[in-house]
Amino acid sequence: MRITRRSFNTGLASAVAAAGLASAAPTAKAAAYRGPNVILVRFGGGVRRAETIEAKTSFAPYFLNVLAKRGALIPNVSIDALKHVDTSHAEGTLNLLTGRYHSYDKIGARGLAPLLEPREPTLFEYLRKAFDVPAHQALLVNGEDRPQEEYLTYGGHKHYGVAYRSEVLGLYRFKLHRLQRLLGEGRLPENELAEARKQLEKLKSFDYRGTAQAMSPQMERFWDRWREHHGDDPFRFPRGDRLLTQLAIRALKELKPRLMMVNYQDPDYVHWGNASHYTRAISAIDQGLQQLTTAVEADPDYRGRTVFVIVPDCGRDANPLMSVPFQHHFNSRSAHEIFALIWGPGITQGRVLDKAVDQTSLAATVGAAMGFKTAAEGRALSEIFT
Amino acid sequence: MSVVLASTAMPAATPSPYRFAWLRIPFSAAVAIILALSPITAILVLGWLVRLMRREVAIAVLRERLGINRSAAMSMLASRPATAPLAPWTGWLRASSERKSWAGRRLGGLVETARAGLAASLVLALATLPFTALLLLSWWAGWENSFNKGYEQAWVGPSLAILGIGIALFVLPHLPMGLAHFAAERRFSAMFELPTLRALIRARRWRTVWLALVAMLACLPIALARILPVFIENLQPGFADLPPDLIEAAARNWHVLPTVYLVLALILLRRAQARCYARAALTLPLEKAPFCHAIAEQFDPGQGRAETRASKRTLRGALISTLLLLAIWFAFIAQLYVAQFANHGWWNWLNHPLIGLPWVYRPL
Repeated sequence: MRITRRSFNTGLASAVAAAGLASAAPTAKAAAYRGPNVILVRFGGGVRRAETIEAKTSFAPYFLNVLAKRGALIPNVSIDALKHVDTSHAEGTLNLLTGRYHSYDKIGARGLAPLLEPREPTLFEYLRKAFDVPAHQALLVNGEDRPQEEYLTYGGHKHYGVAYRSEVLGLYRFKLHRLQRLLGEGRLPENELAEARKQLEKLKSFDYRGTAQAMSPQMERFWDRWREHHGDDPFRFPRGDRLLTQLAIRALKELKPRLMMVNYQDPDYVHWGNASHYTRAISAIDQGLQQLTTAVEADPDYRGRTVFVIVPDCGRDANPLMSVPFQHHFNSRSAHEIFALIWGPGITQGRVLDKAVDQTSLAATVGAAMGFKTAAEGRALSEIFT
Repeated sequence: MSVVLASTAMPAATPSPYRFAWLRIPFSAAVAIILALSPITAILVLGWLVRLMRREVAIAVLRERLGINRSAAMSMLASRPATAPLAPWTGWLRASSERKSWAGRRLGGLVETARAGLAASLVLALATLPFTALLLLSWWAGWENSFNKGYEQAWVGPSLAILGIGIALFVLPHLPMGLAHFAAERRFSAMFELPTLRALIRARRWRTVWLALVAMLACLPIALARILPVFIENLQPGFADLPPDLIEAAARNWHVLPTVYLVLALILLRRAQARCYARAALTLPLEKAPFCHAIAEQFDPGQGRAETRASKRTLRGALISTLLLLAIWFAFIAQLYVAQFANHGWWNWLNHPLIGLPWVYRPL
């Protein structure tokens, strides 16, 4: 599968027309999806250009020296500096998923992490409304234990919403599945069953929309196989961002997602002041990218048919007045400065796009590559396609 | 090294012989500010503050024992060769103990300052390291473990932190009296004479609580000076676009301002703590606080221990004042945690400039 600039532009035009038709006839059965697979990697937890794409100081050698040569590196991506718009993980992720900036109101919080709900349709909703793609092939791979990212599965738009939501892979979902299975099997002693019921109720309380508990049969089977392989004890799973890589690789084999977003997050540990957590987490993501690339290239369903879009949710501060200049990401200039790498069939190889690009352009570009229109504020980057 | 002063008849108070003495205060404070800008020279500032405390103890002893004003107390100190060096404001060069040679009198202060600074650094490090090291280790080990998802030993970091906070809550309430006792007696062990320190605190219980509260509040601007730079680009739009030399100048200035505040706050705070100590020390037996009693006996022989101004001892009062002290010092620790979360520096676990070495950590 190869996207040329011509097919990209044609896809863009047909997406506009399809969007018009879809709104005129919302009940018509969507067409089968025949476009490229897209893996959207959130180089998350907030990373700066300095530790990623700047050769002398990068902790991501595979990303910079191997992947960047395979596609179009866009060093000058920025998050628009708007009033009431923060450089946070939740907002940055929503910018990527919806292509829109908003001043979000928290609908809750879990610890220091705010719960934000998309107001616009997400890429998953656009895809699933435009094409006949089942939920388990529109996948979010979330952080290790982050129910607050369950809210990224769909937005509040009246023409999209829950019917077009994505499925989620993450430890939170595994725990829900495991507890439901344990209670269904009923093999545990009564005191352990009571404890399992209690834990399940607690986990369910994080999911006020109720979507996490209604998994599709494919997802149930995925988790059953995961349990067979790893056992019930999460202590035996890969940990941290390595878990996301393993989940994503297993999903490629078993669920065959057409659009998958991998939400890496561990560089954010530097909020607690240990600089090596930041650099080591960047290295772990870099290794994850290498493993994902290897998995894609080994799979005939994905090899030559998959576009990678790698982009941070936000940058980090570059504050010379602090002991750890990148400890936080509090709306500083550097926290608005990010980058992106897009590579795959039809993308110009080894190109450095020397233009200022807005973060919301990534959603528009994903939409155009996959053949659906988004309401993104940014423009689709047609110039990176051959 | 304790000072034993020969007891003689009380002289009449005479006017202070030190003309332009007031000029010495801003001058020596300015020198202290300059020296407090680097961690090595800050040891001298610590020594100077210890000497300042000793002088303040001597003045407060006379004021307490004789019911005279500050100026009269200074004049009385000046009237005797043994106490005369304690009378003028503590300078950087002039010795504050009796010296025979001209050079010793004129430059002995520098040696005294260096010696007192090194000694105070050592005793403060010994007193505080048991909890500061634990706080540092708990933060490092706790987050290192969290980053590595070491759930199996997740208890280690928080347990170390709780232990460190517990030790801090034992050490910190004793520290101001301990430092004053050390300054007066010039003995390493003075900092660790727990029964004496507890007796001193009991004697001036409410004053100790009040001074702990003042010290805790005095730490707020230091904490703010660490927290505000986090938001520098929000406070000063365009900061990131400044040329590097201007950014470095801003960092330097940012370091100077808290240092100015720190030195001035320490001068006031250490003097207040010294006064509190002196009044408490006079209620103790001679062997517990020989320096204070020696000063008192020098000018007011045979009057014995002062009882009148000691805090009234009741169980309820002891309980409330102890709880207040613990709450105040807990607030100090909480402040440290908040500042560390905002702007982390490993050194800041080991040293708080208002408690230990008077140096504000700077990244640039």
